[in-house]
Amino acid sequence: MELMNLLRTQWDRALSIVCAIGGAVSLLLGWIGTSGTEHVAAQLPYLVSNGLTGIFLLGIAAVLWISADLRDEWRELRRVGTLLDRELSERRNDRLAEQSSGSHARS
Amino acid sequence: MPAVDTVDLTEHANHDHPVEPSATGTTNPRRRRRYLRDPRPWRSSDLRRALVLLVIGAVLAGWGWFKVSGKVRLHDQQGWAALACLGAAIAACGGVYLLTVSMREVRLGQRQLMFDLADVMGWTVSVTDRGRLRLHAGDESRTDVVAHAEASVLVTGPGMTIVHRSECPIARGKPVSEISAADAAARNLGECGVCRP
Repeated sequence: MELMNLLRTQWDRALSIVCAIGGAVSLLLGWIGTSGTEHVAAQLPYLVSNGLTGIFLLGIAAVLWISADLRDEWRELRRVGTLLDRELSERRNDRLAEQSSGSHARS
Repeated sequence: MPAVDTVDLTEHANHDHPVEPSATGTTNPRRRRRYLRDPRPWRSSDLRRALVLLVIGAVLAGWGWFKVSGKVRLHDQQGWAALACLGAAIAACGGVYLLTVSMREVRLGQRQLMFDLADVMGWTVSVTDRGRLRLHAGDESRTDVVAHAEASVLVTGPGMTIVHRSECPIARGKPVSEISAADAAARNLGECGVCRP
């Protein structure tokens, strides 16, 4: 259950790990494929399919992980910003209350 | 105190009664605080652009792969392999674009938050010579800033219609020369809105 919660809240990092593993496996398969033949023409399909797919998946993994970090940073900004906003509006209300009580006292 | 080239950006003059953040002013980064409204640092249009690049790149790479695997001669494969590499590069551009936009928004949000924090705490904000914002708590730091501001000279450059302080981040790196306040007034030059000479 905890694992499911973790996956739900950290889906981008989980997907990033899956992509990274997939990319590494793809690169490994490509290496095995190219090392099995001496003909360059037979090696090139492995290079394009497994090599590029591996790099593509690793790139996706990096983007997902960094974007997850940025979203965390964004959430933190939002949390602190909301606190500051609340503080500022409270001060504004206090000042308005002071002004209104002052005008009542004058009248 | 370390000698830091700073420009005071905080607008409130009375530190006993700090003012609320105003949503006006061309140099005030508090004008748009997206972090309070949007749940993600990127906009949906940014995500759409990144996904379009990603899909185009993936399609080109897949097409190249399909064609390469159907040829038996190296000469016939080379062009398709290059196409597949181009597709991968386009897809990478999509990811880099999304991250760049997000990082820029997060950095902007951090700067906006510093201004809000300065307003709540009654602090001042200044720009260092490296273009970073710096918070100054209390009066002792402020006196440093004011003393430094008093020591600065006015500068302007060819084609400029305003004068800056010598440490102004807007004037940094530009071919500027010193000018007296009288000369600036005689040439009808305006004042920079950031460094407020």
